[in-house]
Amino acid sequence: MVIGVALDESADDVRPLTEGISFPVLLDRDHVLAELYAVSNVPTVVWIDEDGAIARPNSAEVGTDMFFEFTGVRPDEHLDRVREWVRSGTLPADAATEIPDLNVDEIEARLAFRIAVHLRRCGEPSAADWFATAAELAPMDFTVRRAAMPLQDLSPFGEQFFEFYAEWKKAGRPYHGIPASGNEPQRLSQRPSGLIPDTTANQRGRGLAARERSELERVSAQRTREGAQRLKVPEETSIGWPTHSTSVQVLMRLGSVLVAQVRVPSAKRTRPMARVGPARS
Amino acid sequence: MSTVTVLMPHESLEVDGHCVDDLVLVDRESLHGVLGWDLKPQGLCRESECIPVTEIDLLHGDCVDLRAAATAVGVSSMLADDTDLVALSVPSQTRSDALSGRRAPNFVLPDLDGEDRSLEQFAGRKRLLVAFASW
Repeated sequence: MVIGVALDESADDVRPLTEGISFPVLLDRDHVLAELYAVSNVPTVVWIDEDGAIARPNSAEVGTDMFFEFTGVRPDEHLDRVREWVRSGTLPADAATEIPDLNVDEIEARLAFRIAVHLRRCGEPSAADWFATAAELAPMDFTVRRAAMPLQDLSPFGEQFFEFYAEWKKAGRPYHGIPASGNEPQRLSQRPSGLIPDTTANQRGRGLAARERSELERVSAQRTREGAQRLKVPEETSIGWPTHSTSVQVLMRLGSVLVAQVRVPSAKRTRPMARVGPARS
Repeated sequence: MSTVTVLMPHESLEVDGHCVDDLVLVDRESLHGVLGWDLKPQGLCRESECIPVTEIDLLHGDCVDLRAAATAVGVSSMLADDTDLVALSVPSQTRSDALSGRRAPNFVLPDLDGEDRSLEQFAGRKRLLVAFASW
């Protein structure tokens, strides 16, 4: 099953993204997952087995091809691996990856962020100082820096985000988890032609390639229009950014995969196993 | 005694206490309520487990230094002293159990209708935990 956890301040921001989703979606206003699981960006997927063991740790996975040119990540490989795990318990080799712990600054950044959101809820202007402190402590952490943008009335697709994104790429895309498979340099040759390998900007430190940016802006605008239609509000009054999210799409895709796979094959498989295996309590 | 707001990972608590410079001083009862550990002559104790600390080092009069006690049990803290607000992290052991020990730490969070759910309540099934956001 899928358990979605939104690192968001308000359920109202999340609801438009979860229409039609039947599995649980939880609201993590204080970023508990960012502390407990060292989540540093979204979407992050963790595979947890029946006994509560982490079968495959944090990984950056997406639900659709929509942002492929921007992120270089395709969903199909991950979905196939999930199917295989659900069907036979087989884990991909990267499941053994060990995720480094948060360092002191990253821990303190989460605390500063928590103070900031608390002060913001109390209407305290000093919240801004604490958001700034958090960003200084963990400048490459999306759950600290980008999550703070809408809380300070900044668009998470605004100028500040593009500056941050360029810094993050220049720093080698730091992430607490298995990196997005499309971002591994050895995979670049497998990409269809005509797509920009994002290492170009990376190596030269030039920041965001113009084409990537225009593609993202195009897709963002399209998503805003779609979101506005879905929410039945005029486009110009829509705040826009909740519908930009790619991460929710991973929920939808994974949800349909798991429902389809868990119901049928696992029911068939358990019978022969039960005959030969030890009695179960 | 005034109150201090303690921002815990899952909740915020108002406890009797006060801040002096970088210290957050609380009574023993509040220490237990916040950290789940008690200060005893043999150290900070929880059930049968004790972490050796010198009791006198944590005591300021009748009050306990909450931040020093937190540090001793692997909990980081940050103080917003002008607002009597202190944030406490999850115990570092809990996260290293997850990252090195591969045990998925439980959490309790509300769903979008405000009803509390936990990771554990879905035990016995393969689970994909998907952290996402609207931003």
